[in-house]
Parts: sequence; structure tokens; C-alpha cells
Amino acid sequence: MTHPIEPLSGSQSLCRQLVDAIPAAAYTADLEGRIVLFNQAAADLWGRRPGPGDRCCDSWLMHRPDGTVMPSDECPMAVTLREGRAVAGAEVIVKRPDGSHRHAHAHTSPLRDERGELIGAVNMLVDITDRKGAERALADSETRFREVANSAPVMIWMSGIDTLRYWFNTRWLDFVGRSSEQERGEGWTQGVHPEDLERYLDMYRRAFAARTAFTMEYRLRRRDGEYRWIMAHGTPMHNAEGGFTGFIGTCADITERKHTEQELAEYRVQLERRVEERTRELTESHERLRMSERLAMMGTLAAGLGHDMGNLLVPVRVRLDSLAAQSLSSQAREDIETIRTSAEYLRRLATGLRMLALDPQRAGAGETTDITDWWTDASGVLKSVLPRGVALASKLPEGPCRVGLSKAALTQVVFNLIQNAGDAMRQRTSGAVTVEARAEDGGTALIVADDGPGMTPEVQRRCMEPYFSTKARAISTGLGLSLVYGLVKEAGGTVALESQFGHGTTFTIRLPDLRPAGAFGPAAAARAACVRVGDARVRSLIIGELRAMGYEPDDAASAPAIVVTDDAAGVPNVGVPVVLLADAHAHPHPHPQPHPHAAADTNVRAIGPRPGLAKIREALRSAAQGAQPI
Amino acid sequence: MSDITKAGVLCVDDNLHVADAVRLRLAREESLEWKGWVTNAGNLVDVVQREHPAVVLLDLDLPGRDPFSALAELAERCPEARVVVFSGLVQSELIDRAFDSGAWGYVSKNDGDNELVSAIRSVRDGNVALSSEVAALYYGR
Repeated sequence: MTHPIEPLSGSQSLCRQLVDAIPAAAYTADLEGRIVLFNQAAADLWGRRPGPGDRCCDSWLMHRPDGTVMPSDECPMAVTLREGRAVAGAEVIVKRPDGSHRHAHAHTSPLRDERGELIGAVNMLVDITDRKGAERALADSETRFREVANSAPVMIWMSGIDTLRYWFNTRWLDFVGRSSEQERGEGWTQGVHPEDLERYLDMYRRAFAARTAFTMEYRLRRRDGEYRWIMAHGTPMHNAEGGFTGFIGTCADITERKHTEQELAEYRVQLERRVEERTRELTESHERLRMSERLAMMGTLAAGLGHDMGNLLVPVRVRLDSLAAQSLSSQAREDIETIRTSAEYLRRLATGLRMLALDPQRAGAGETTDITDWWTDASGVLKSVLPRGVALASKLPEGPCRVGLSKAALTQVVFNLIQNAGDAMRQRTSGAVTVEARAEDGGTALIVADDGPGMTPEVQRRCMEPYFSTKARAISTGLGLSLVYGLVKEAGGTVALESQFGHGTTFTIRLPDLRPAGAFGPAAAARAACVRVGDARVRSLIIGELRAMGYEPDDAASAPAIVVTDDAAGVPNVGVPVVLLADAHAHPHPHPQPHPHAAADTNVRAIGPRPGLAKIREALRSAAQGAQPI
Repeated sequence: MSDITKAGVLCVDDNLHVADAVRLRLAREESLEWKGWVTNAGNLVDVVQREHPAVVLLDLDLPGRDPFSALAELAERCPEARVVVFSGLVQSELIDRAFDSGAWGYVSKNDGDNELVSAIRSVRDGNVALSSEVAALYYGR
């Protein structure tokens, strides 16, 4: 409904109908700018209803689009009334009495009478407030997006539907050290690692074609030239209508993570390897324990058997002697000798068993063994492990041949070698194993040779490893040759193996020279030893030691090579090596009493009180070495 | 009543057959006299103080009291009774321990009865005695 401010004439009525018909705010004004007609939409836009005489351009404030006050002569209606021309689409801001604003486009046209004289103007105001709000919201949203995108801790790009990228955030540009112009389009591909580019582009294009998100890792060159691992995610973008508008992508530098993953993978491999090693060690340890328990059990059994046999042979032999002392027939004497021979064989077997059972590392420290004597006792046990039909032969030196292994160790070394030979010849009906000992330059060679099937190169290479075994039999421990190797090595020797597949095996053990007999003792010309010790038992023991060292006791010797005494006052002051024993019975001193010259005479070695035999032996040897130059 | 010129021998061994064999063997020796047999070293000092043996044969593999401790006590309290270890165990450490505890001799049961008798005589005469297996090990070091 048009609201006439003054009574209307005929033309005005026409004009009123026209204004009413306009689907926007519209009003007319006379030449003075006074509002003549306005429709409801105009009243709504202004937020008031103009009264009589209200002028459209100066009765209320209008503003320019930038918010500044628009002078009344600048408003579109004033221009049209003043200049008689239409103003189309001028943007104005209308301030309502309640303080709110409306944006509008003003479209003014001059009104003329029949003569063409300007009589007023009509203004149609199109309310654009809502559109302006939407535009502002969009602009704000865009600004906010850029701000967020530029401050995001990831690199972001956007592309159009043609796959060409048109925008990168500042983090991307900072990362690659290039300008937005350089990166736009396909410029960004220059930073992708050559090895990754084809794969990347292939996935990029396929994702575009399918309009589906994609994820991939690739290397991108950083501004310092270093290629960094990037995790890229691309997501298709759509407008409000659901139309595809391109892709937006985010990229994060995952180089550190990749390194960490790589390190973790390496740690995992290492851990798995360690677990495997530890499992193997535990298995071996368990196996060792099982074997050592079995060996200990067999050792206990052998020791007990050897000991009991030795015990029982004492009465057997005594009673044989007793029988032999009686008047008997020759047949009975022959029987007695046969039993005696068997008993002697059993005695050696018992000795051999005990030697086999002893822990060589505990029982044999420092011991030496004469091979000929040892063979007499040990050969019975050694032969027992060979199959029937395989002979055990020996080639031993005529004279004494002493090696630096205890009887127990020597027995176990040779036993293991012979046992292995026997096992290798288990299927044979004949054969021979020979044990040979001979002096060599710098030591003694102990050779155990068989004419069995020999070893393959692989077995030769591995046979000294602990638990390596070619045997299927339950008794095998796989420890035999490694035990041999360990014992010989401990004695300072070496083990050499010669074997030809099909032609037998020879083990050669080389043991270093012992110090020759009397090495601790004096030269032949000065062998007299003066022993002045009151305790007959200790004196006797010392004499035994000195004899073993090459001395001859001679208390009357005028120039003894060594003096052993328990009398501090009787120490001769002649520069002779002296071992002074503190006699706990005669002189119960808590500490040995050095003789008057002891401090100045380094030839005096004072020990005691109640020195153990090991201590006395050590002092005698030390003194004897001091006596060597005499 | 025993002949005072004879050296009495007491045997400490848990094996009846061994002890009986020693008794039988000593019976052939005019200068030696069997003083009896005990199966462990538990009251050895009492027995020695009662029987006054010149030589005590002591096995090392005995039930009950540790023979080394009995040996040390005997050497301390009855030094006139000289102990010969008579054992099938021949090891350096045992030999050292026996002599350090006061033994006069060490005889291996493997070395036969003649060596035993010889060792008893030697000890009776005031000399330390080692049978051949023991000497080979002991002085061979």
C-alpha cells in the first residue's frame, strides 16, 4: 500500500500505483526533495514512516559504503533532483532510528511532466544487506582459512580440478624456499625427489580421476637442499552444490619419525637377534647342564667303581700272597698266578677308572705324568672302549718320558681320542688304534692314530667345537674333542689333526718341555743339603723334597749347597741359600723369627710357624733357584 | 701281653675285607703286631690311648668324622702314634692335606700289600713314607 504524504492528483495517483507495484523499497520526492509517496517496503527499509515535509536526503543520516557520513547533496536522490539524471546502483547505507543499518543500492530516475520539466524523482532502493553479510562472511571465512592455514604446523596446498596447484601456505613456501609463483601450477614438482616423482604423480592423477583421498610418503627437497621424508594427504574439495572443485593437501615432515622408525626397526632386529642368541645360549647352557650332570653321574659311578674295586683287590692280593706262601701243588701255584694276573689287570682297570673320573682341572694342577707308567695303568680302560676286533697298540719311548699333564687329564685326553676312533670303526671287524709318544724339539709329541674311515673336511673344521657331534648314540655328549682341546691348551700344548676321508685320522698333541729333573736343584758339584730340623717327620718330608730336586742330604758337609734349619741361631753366615722354619713347638712365636742376618742376607727365606708342605716346597724351590749360580 | 719290641698297628677302615687282609698280612711280619680295627675315626684318640699302636693306618673314605680332623687331633694329642694314610684316593691335594695334618706316610691301596708293610716299617723307624704311586704323583710335580 502506497502512503501518500499529501492529497494526490490524477498523475500522482498513477505514480502511486506504480510505486506500489515495485517489489522493492520505492518512493518519490518533489523538486525540493520532500517525500511524496513511499511504499511499505521503503518504510521497512528506513525503519520509520516519513512525516509531512520530511526530505529524503537530509531528514536522516545516510552513509557511504565505507561507513562515513554521506553529505545530503551527495545522496543519489539529491543528484538526480539537482542534475535531472538517473543514478543507477549507487550503494548507500541507511541508518535506522533503532541504530541498525541497512545496505541498499539506490536506483533513482527523474520524474518529468508532459512538457519534460523536472518535477521530482523516484528512487528504488534494493536492500542488499543480506547479500553484503554473506559476502562479508565469505571474505571473513577466506581470511580465517588463510590465517589458520598459514599458521598450521603442516604444509598445505590447494589445486583446481585441472590438478594444477594454485595456492600454498607460508609453511610450504618457507620449507621449499621458493615463491608462490615458482610453486604454482606444476612448479612444485621440481622439489620432489626424482626417485619418488613418478610414483607420486601417478597416485596424484589417479586420486584426481577417482576424486578420492590419497596418502603417500615421498621425499621433498628442503630449502637447504636436503631431501626430507614427507607424509602427504590429499582430499577432494566440493562446493555447496557438491561439485568437485579440486584438492586440498597437507604435508608433514616425518623424517625424524622415519629415522626413529628405522632405528626402532634396527633395534627390533637387534632385539630379536639377541633373544635368539640368548635362547640359543640358554638351550646350550641347559644342554651343557644336562650333559655335565650326566658326566658327573658317570664320573661318580666310575670313581665309586674304581675305588671299590681297588679296596676289594687289597684282600684278594693279600690272600693270594698268603696262599702262595703255603706248600701247594704246581697246578695250584699256576692258578694263583693266573688269579694274580687277573687281579693286577683289575687293579689297573680300577686305577684307570679313577683317573677317568677325576676332574682334571681340579685334581691335576701342576702335576706331571710319566707316559710309560701311566700307560701300564690306563691301557686297560682305554682298550675297553674299542670295538672287538680293533687293536690298541703303543709305541712308547724306552726311558722316562714325562709330560705336563696330570694322569687324570692325560687319561681323559687319550680316552676321548680313542673313544672317537672306536666309534668311527664301530662297523669294522678289524683295525688298529696306535698311541705313540716321542720326544721332539722343545717337547713331547703324543700321537693317537687310527686306520678308520677318516673325516670329511667339514667335520675336520668343526670337530673341536663344543657339542659338535657326528654320533647318533645316546651317550654322545659332543664334548669329547673340545675337552681334549681345552685340557691340552691349558697345559700349554697344541692339538693338530690330519685326516683323509677314507684313510684314517691322526691327532698329534704337542706338549712343551718340562723343566728337566733337578731344574730347581744345584749343579752336580754342589748337591749337598744340610737339613737341621728337629721334627723328624718334617725333616723326613724335606729330605724327600730335596732328593726329588736333586740334592743329597749331608748334614756334615762343610760347604752345603743349601741349608734348611729350624734354628735361627744356627744359620750359617756364608752366603748359602737358607730356608728357616719357625719351629712352633720349640719357639711358639706368632711370627717367624728372622735370624740376625736375615735383613741383609737375601739368601735366607724364613717361613712358618707350622708352614704347610706347599709353602715349604715353594721356599725350597725358591732357595734352590737362588743357589743355581754356585 | 704283646711283645714290646713289636710295633703295634691299628687299622681304621670301614671295609671288613681290607682290614682283614691287613690283619692277615701283618701276621706274616714278626716285627709288626695287629692291634685291631675300627670302622670310623669318631673315637680314634680314645682307642689309640688305650691300645698304644705305633702306627695307625687311616682310610680317607670313612663314614662319620672327617678323617683329616681326626688325624690332626691324633698328631697333636698322641704324637707317638704315627699315622699312615692308606687309601685308594691318590690326589695331590689330599697328600698335601694329610701331611699338613700330621701324617707320616701315604700309601695307595693300588700299590700292594708289600709297599704297605714297607711303609709301616719306615714310619716306625722315623722316616716319612710314600708308596710308589703316591711318590710318583707327589714328587713328579
